[in-house]
Amino acid sequence: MLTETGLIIENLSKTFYVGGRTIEALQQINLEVVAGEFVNIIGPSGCGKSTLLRCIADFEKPTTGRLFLNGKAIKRPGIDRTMVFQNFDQLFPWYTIRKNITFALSVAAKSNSTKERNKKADYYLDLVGLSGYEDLYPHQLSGGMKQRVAIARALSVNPKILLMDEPFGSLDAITRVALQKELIKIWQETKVTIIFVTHNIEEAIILGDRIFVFQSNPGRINKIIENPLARPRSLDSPEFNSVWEKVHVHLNFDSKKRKGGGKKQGRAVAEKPLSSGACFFDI
Amino acid sequence: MRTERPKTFNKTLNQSLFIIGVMICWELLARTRWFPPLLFPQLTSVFSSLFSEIAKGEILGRLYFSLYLIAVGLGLAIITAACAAALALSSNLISDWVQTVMAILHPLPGISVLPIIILWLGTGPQSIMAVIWFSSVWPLITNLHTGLRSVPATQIEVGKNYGLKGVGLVWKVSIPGAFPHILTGLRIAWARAWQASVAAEMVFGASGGEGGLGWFIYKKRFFMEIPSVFGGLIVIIIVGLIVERLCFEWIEVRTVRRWGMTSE
Amino acid sequence: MRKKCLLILSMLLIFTVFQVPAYSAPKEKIKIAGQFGLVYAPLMVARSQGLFEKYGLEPVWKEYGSGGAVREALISGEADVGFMGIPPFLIGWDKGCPWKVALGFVVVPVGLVTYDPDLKSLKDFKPEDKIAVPSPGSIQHILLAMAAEQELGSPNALDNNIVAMPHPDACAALISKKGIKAHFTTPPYLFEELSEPGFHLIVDDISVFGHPFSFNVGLASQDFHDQRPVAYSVFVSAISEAMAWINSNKEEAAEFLAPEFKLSAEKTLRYLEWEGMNYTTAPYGLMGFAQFMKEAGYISRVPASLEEIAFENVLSFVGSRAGGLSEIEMLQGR
Ligand SMILES: Nc1ncnc2c1ncn2[C@@H]1O[C@H](COP(=O)(O)OP(=O)(O)OP(=O)(O)O)[C@@H](O)[C@H]1O
Ligand SMILES: [Mg+2]
Repeated sequence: MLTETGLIIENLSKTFYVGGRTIEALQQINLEVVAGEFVNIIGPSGCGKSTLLRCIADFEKPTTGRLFLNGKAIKRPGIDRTMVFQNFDQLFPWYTIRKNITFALSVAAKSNSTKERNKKADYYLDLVGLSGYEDLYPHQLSGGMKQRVAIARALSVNPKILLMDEPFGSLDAITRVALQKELIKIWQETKVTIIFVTHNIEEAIILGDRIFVFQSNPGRINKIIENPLARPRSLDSPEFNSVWEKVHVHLNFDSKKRKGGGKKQGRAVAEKPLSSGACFFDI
Repeated sequence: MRTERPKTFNKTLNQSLFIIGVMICWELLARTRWFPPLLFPQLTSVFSSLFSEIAKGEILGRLYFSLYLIAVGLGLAIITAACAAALALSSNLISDWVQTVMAILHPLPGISVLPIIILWLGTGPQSIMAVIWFSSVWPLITNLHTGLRSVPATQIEVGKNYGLKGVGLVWKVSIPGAFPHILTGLRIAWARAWQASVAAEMVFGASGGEGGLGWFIYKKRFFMEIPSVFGGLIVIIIVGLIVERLCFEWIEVRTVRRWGMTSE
Repeated sequence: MRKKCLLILSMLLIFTVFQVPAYSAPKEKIKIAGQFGLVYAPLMVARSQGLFEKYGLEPVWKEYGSGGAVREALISGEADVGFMGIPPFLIGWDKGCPWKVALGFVVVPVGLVTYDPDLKSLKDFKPEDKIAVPSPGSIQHILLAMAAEQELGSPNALDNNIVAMPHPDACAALISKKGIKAHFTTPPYLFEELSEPGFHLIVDDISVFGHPFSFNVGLASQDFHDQRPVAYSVFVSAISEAMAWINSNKEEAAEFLAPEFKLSAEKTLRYLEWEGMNYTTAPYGLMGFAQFMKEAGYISRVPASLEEIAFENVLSFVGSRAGGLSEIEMLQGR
């Protein structure tokens, strides 16, 4: 084993059997994520991005292959790997915002006192910019606020890895950009490892150190792209465009291999002009 | 919140005014003597007989007995429903069976099984309890079943992620997640149990010493104490209202409404 | 669908237009509320033989499940005349129903039947031994209370043993020995139960009441009696005729009644000739019930005289003997 600290995935395959059909969601995935790294996963719909994250979280059992975190095999779900989902219903509606976090803390570490837990919850709520909302219920928050609470909750238990499955996917562009900035700030403060799934090339480039470009049928890694851009990153820099081209090519390469509609769709995306700010392309 | 309070106040006021209006109409209609006063008594005599029955202690004893029958029948139904839902959750095979049994037996009015229950269990309070059980168990199972199934998979996974499993997961995530359905189920079950307890005792099978409100009304009818029959009905209505308003609404406001888990 | 509707509509139209209304004077109606069972055989006879029609009256027959229901029908005006046991009648009278007895209606054996050989008297009943009666306040209930007072000292001694059940259900339950231990009942259920091996009477009518009593009485409201005197006398005459016919033609009556009760003609005849059966309009025991029911608290007052509860034909029938009661007068008490 090369790295002792970090995530190692060896020969991971995942096959689903649905109604007599077999779906190879993931085939022979090998990857390493170093502690403290921020990696992005991007790829067409159905290429197994979520499945990979769910395997890491151990919500799914791999068909073959092994996963190690800090040298130890992953056997069950645990708070060293916390997941932030795309859907807004990941918060428990019957708990207040603070209770959603202290709930996680109390389940994870029963030894803490209620006071300590509340303090911790308030700290993380402050980190995601939600001080003052502690006593509201989730249904009283906006979608973006809910995702922030989910991030605060996931961070509150001091995970080794934060698994984020398109957490900003359902948000409007403005909120999305704001949250991206915040996420980078939090990552820099907490030094947590982040694996971030996205559909959005720009998001991937803005956020990650490395970008894993997936392709589908069967789901596998097509290309690992280093992202050397200095932070803070800007959408307008020429370096940005070159990384964008690289990611795009590898995504496009995949859609060219597919037949019919896939090809057209790929081209249509490529021809769209790049603009700054809140304009994003979904592939 | 600020917009809600005047609304509920208006609703209560409106409803009270309506009830008072109905009562006035009743009294006027009774005083016209278009209908035989023996069958359509004045409200004044209804209330005076209600108070004298309360003073005699009979009606409250009967009410207490009805509530006791319901507590046992409904309690057993809740336990049954919990077991059935637990089994259904644990295996798809059993889930199919539970759904089949539900589809077959749910449409049967509880009271319709009374003759069979009397043959099996005799005519004592246990038969009334069985009818109450039968009337309330199906809505409970149905709602519990759909409730547990409607809990978002994400929330279950979040629970697992933070280290919950087995009973802890069900208790901390599935049950609160299913709570709107559970509350609906309890409401329907209570209403059905209340109806069944009264109806069962009125059809037949009530025994003299150990009857509830249904038996009270039945007996009063045969002794032609019609104001007392209406008195019994008023007690039934009031208890139904109290349980709905003070118990279920109280819970609803503090749970599903506060949590934003209602469509209202 | 449309065409069908049109067709039906046009046919209806044709019928209404071309139907020549056969003129007939609207007949005066009399609404009669009865119940089902061997006791009500005279009503079936009157119906099939057109005993009301021959006086130019059109009877409307209504059947109810209990004396209480007949009483409600009479009060609400759903029926002009009706039949029920003396106790339900007296309960109504006590509450102010403006009605009186127009005729006695059948004397039949009544009794408490059990299958349990250990139950030989009311003293043997334990709290869990249930006794079925048709309803609270029914004649069977009152007779049970009378028997309880005689044997156990209090009319309410067995109140906690009572179960209200219609006769057919109770009969089935008793014969299958499920749920109830005993049944206070009347023919034909009494006869059916007693025909079962080991079933026996614990209490019978004569031992409780002291002498036979009218099981039912025919009732009419004061208004009906006063405003429609002809209909009233037709009612009395038609029922009397039906009873007299049964008494003198038992075999023919059995033949006719058998299908109504879904029994064989032989069995029906056996039931008609069972000891104690007496189709008679003579009233028995009117005051006896009233006195007991007042003492036991079922009613609040006792009629001062028969006049308060019976019409003139009954009063003249019973008579009023100078210098002490006549036998029929004595039969009104207990
Ligand atoms: N529980 C499951 N049962 C059967 N098939 C599944 C299951 N979960 C995922 N799959 C299949 O595995 C493949 C990968 O699914 P996955 O959700 O990982 O895709 P994804 O890359 O996350 O797509 P998207 O970007 O649309 O979220 C899909 O073909 C999907 O149909
Ligand atoms: Mg996905």
